Amino acid sequence: MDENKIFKRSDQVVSREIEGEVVLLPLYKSSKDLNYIYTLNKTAATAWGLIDGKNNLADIKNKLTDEFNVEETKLTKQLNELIKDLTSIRAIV
Amino acid sequence: MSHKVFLKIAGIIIGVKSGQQPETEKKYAYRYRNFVLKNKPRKVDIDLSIGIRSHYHMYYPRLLFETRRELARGRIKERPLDRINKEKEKYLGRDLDWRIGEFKEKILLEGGQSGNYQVMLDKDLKKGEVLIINSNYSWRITDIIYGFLQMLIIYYLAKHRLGLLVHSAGIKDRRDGYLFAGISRAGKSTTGRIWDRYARVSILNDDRIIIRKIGNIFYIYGTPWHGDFSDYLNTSMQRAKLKKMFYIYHKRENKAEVVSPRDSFNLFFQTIFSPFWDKDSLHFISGFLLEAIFNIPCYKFGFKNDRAVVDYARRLK
Repeated sequence: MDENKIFKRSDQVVSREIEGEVVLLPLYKSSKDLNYIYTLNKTAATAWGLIDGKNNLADIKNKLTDEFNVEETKLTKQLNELIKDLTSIRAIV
Repeated sequence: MSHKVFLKIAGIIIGVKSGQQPETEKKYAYRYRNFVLKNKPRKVDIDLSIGIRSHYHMYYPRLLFETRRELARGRIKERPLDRINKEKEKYLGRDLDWRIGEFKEKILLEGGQSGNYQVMLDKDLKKGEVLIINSNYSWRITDIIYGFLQMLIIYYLAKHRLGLLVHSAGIKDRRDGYLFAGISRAGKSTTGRIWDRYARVSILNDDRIIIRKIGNIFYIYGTPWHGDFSDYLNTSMQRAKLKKMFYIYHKRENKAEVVSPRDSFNLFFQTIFSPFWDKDSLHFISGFLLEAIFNIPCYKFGFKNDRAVVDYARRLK
């Protein structure tokens, strides 16, 4: 994934922090789509907080590396998966 | 001559005005009569006027709905007014389709089977015109309550930051209110039956409860939208101070566990009727639920279908 890419939170989702984790509530147009709410664990919640339309992926990765003691390759993989998941539920653009 | 009916649901007063008197409903009036005010209130929160047409295209052209911006559509389960099996106290669930749209400065709500209710409301949902499609040119209070009012109340509660509607049974045990929330078939009506039979309590409702916060206190309110069990039906405008929240499911023995705020949110959010198309409303609903969770003890409650559940729930601290 292009580490210069900048994402921002979509206005199609409401987020709530609960005890260090974040719950995401997507907006829907049909009650048939109303199947899920999404929970981000502490690491993902920190990444979510850094997705602000200013930090690119490299910035986010560096900040997460500073905060959590995670090996870089593993962190890159997890961050890419998180970005992919958040994009698929339209939580970020 | 203008005829007016005033309803009060969870402290929200709905005024309904029509040039025609509503039909008398001896058979079904018991379901909602406790929500009808006997005297004219000092103020009305939602002011509705009724128009009746034999065909909707004569008044609000269907085209109107094709040109509006649709916000959302969905289905909500309603119980029909005719009891299907008296011995089993079972009602057929019936899906009512609804749509919400925007047109110019108005909110359009279309509901009921075959879209036979159309409501054009001001953006603040405080005033609206209701078009009832009825070839007999008559209307009933049940047309209002069981046609579209539930969707309107769901939206109104959120828009005005008042509270939320929960898929739950509600009990008033002396002064204490207990909320028993759950998905379909979780045991809400069963809970209503057990508490009605074995405890001297008031069953506010066995399917739809409104939670509101007045000052710093959370209250639960009965509503006219009930579930399977209606013999006890004394649902009314009364409320109870919310003391405990239970997310229920059937189990072979009674077991309640305290649930963390995060898990409580995940559980109870499933049971809320949320205006999922409106970001501000969804933001309010989620915040309101969180606030309730942080202030009221929440339990995940596997319950056995017998009288022991009453003392068990009462004794939980």
